[in-house]
Amino acid sequence: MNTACQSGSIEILSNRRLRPQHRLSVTDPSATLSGQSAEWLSTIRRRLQALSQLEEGWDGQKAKPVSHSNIDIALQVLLGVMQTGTPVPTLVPTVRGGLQIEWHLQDVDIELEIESPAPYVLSFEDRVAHREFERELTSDLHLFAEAVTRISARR
Amino acid sequence: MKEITLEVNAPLPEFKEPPVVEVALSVQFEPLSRLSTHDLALYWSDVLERKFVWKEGPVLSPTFEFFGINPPPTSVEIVFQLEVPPPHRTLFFSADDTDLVQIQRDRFVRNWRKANQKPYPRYASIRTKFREQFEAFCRFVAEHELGACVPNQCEVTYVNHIPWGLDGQPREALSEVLTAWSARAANTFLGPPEQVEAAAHYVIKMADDRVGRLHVAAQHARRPDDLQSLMALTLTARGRPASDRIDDVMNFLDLGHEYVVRGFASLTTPAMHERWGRTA
Repeated sequence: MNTACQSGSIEILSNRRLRPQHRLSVTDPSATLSGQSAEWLSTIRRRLQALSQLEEGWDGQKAKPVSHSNIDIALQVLLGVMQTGTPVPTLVPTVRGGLQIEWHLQDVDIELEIESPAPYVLSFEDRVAHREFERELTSDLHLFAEAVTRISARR
Repeated sequence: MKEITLEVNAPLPEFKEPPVVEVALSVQFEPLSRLSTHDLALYWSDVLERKFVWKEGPVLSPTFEFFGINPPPTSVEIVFQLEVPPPHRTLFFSADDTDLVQIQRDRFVRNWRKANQKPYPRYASIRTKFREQFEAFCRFVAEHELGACVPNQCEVTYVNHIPWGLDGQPREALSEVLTAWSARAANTFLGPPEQVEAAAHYVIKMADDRVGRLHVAAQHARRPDDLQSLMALTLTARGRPASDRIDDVMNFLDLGHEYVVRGFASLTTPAMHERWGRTA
């Protein structure tokens, strides 16, 4: 029995010995049109993979490698905010082992700096709406989601 | 900062014979990139005093609870090869197979499992052992200059096995076990389900802040020893501690335990409570 999605795949001794009632066939999402991965995901996957390969001193000085947890957080966050019409963001490593998710568009700049543990720093500037702010975020990322929705709706 | 005592409106539900068969307390931290197999061998020898059986397993993916964004789709699975040699998870089993310590570069987990009809030792006892062992691990990490344990998520998992009829014989309706499951249908066309899998997710709050989630999963299963048909009800409370200090880790685990226990009592029926000897 697999409780991975609920418990983060912690080894559960009791469940290891259980015999699940035969799992009845449910269609694999990848076999359906609606279950196909978005195109941006393959691009992001390649970029995150590249970032994960950076070694210490990648900037020619003392920059740290991008940490595993920051890459996982970035992916989870992007899966949570990307919409149809959202431009693919740029991913930039930081010297402290984190990374930034960035959009620099004609009227809007968005940057989310991810360096676990939180806070994560969100910078937002909308030159049309004359709105600009910088906030520290922890678990609640709704401000970031709203910012991404703004640029997705404009396209 | 001292550990806080959670303010509760009512005492926690208690059962003389709860159906819990396993408890796991876990803390996830910033990766200890220098932690090697050699170090874990030293840990096994010096800290665990070679009393545990060593095994290895696949690494667990980091998991974070966020709010204000969509939950990730379950069909997306991405694996990165991040470091060489590839990270793995080391499992230390007690001789009687009832205790387990799991360690990987970003996770420390301690499990207790019911065996030989021994009673559930209660959360306070499991908590004490978890704290002692996690602190010992962090001291080991510091003494061997492997970095520092900086927690970013923690979780409490309770697995309950609820006997649910015998194979080939009629079972109680699931609605007689779980309050959240309605037996109502628009008509009788389908009849009762052959099997049931159910999941639900709830927000954990501290004051007005959303700090984590309680994940609940119910699945029909069978125990291989006696072919007992049962409902495996798993409750996992996961979230972010208020800081990376051990006291705040324990505070979150206490809050998570409270959600698990109150959630369990809320999701199961009074008839089941009576069977388990509810006293509070």
